[in-house]
Amino acid sequence: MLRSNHKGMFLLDTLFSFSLLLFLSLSLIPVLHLLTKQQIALETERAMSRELHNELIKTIPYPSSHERSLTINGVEAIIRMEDEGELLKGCMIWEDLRSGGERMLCLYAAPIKMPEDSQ
Amino acid sequence: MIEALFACALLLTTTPILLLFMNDLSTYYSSTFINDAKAHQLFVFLQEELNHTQTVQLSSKEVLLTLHNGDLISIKLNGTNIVRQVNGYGQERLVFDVADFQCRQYEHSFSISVTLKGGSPIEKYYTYPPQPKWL
Repeated sequence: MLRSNHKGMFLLDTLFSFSLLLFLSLSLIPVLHLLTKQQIALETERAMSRELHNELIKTIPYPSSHERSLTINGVEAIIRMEDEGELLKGCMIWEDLRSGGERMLCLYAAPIKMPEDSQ
Repeated sequence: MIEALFACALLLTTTPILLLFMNDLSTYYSSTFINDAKAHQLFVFLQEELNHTQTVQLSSKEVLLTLHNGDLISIKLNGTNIVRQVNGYGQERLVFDVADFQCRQYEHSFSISVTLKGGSPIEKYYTYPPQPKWL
């Protein structure tokens, strides 16, 4: 009796498979989106630290306090150099894509002792 | 039968769209991400090498490092690879798919610029290694 009555078979089958497909697709999309967002944030962070380190190296021979803004990967950032006498402090401030808040990275360097300084 | 056809049609319509969407999401930034990571790996490797270096000599496409143990390390562009040679022997591949490799010399520093295929130049500045007091 049950075997011969299979009028709802196709509908249930297709509904089940379609819901499975929708579930998988809809759960994959946010995961992929999150993954891409994290990748971009990490790439931005690496680019920021590289740029900060470059700026610090360029400033080491001629220590001075200054500030400038720049854009990396579409993210606006501020580089701030502070001559603290013994050390040179460089900070990069930008908006973090992951947390949405402000992110700050600071590096320190010892200024090069020029011949006239050592006298 | 109609339900099956309807579901099948819906499935055929949505699958390519979903595939395109997911493909777009997964690859849109990944190539620059991987490129950036590759170049960074080279920069870190070079910085570690500089920690053991006594002198640095630069040409536009080659970095020559003389280590404290006397070894001469050459890092240069060979075809589309950046390779490392020790005393003129061997070829250790550091980065592949490189479009351009440039070295620039400044008064107190030098820079390495790497352009990977399909990417933009990534530049890194280095300070010259300090001379040890016993030299």
